[in-house]
Amino acid sequence: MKNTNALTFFSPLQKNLDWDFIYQSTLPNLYNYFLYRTGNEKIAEDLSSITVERAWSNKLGYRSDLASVQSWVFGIARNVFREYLREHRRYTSKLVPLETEDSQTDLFDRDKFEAKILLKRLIAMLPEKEQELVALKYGAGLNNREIAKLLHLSESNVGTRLFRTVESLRKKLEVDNE
Amino acid sequence: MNDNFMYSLRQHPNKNFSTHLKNRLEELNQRQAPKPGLRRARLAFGFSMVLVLVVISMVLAVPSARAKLQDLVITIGDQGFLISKEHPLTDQETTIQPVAIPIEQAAENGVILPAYIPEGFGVEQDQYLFYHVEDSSEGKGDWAEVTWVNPGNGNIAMIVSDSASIMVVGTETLEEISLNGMYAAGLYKGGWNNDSFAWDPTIPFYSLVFVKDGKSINFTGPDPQQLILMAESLNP
Repeated sequence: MKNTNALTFFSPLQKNLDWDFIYQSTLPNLYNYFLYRTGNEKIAEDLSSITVERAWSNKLGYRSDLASVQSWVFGIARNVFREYLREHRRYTSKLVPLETEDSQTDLFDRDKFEAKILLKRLIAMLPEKEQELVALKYGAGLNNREIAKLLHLSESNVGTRLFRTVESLRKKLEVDNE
Repeated sequence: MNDNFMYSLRQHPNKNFSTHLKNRLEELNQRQAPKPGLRRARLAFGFSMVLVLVVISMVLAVPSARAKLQDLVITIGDQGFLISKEHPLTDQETTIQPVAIPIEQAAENGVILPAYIPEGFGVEQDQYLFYHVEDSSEGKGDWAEVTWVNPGNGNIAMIVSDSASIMVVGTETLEEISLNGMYAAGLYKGGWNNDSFAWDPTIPFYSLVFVKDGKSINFTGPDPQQLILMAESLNP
């Protein structure tokens, strides 16, 4: 499922933002960002709720002249995830997703299901920065420029690191399938 | 680069979850109706900032003073910066002895701490310093200072002040950056040399200064990216 980023339609100078539309278009990306970060649907829902409620409580403070809505929301999401990590770091050093058959698993395609589990595990074993890049790119659906701005990296650095990460994941998946 | 397989983990959020959350937001919307008291507080804060700026503007309006000081006020977000070649300390400055308070009590005393701390850094002696200003006639407020240390890699300090005041800097390389899309902050390198009473751009420290919720916050450390990440991790 490829992502289409509806939020990029907003002009940074738009004054009267449609917050209902923002909610509808942000939630799937937010949920998937946390899903890629934690590998757990329930935790992804909890963290998405916290983020959305925090954003809503502070929406009067949002300044469209400083950042796009998605940068703002994902800035909050990253804080929420940091807080979650800090809270759970004492219990677990690495978040490795549970290998349960989630509600949307295609039970007739075991290979696909196993490949997904393997991909989840491989992502969870990446260094922290690479996990964040993968979650922002493929979970949140942000483009390299938006990620670069959010992480205060150069766009080319984001592209290079993502390329290397995806290639290494592909090789590991191929080795496992052989 | 064929990266289609990387999207294979994406899912639609559960419908019950989205509906429940939507209802919660509607409750929040109803509670967010502006309260008169809050509006007054915002106006009062805005008014105090305007007053400070007006005083500075009046000084700058006098041609001789302007020519002598060669000062320039720049406002970034709610934080004012006075670009000056003159050292800000005066003969009337007094030394305030701080009180050390356990870091666990920071939150209950209104000192917000960043969720992100760079790897290897820890709060110095697990405490922060609180400075109380006896005579606040000059409009200066109390402030708290938290220092994170990482032996061999420099220190990072955060100063939180109850009231926003104009920051006097001797550099024009002041950069405006955005924090989480909510706050504009000023970032600059260098500092005042208290021996030579001159601005020293070679001091290997960056400062990130901004106003958040009426408090002036100043992060100082060797790596500007770390400062930005820490500032962004303060709860919105």
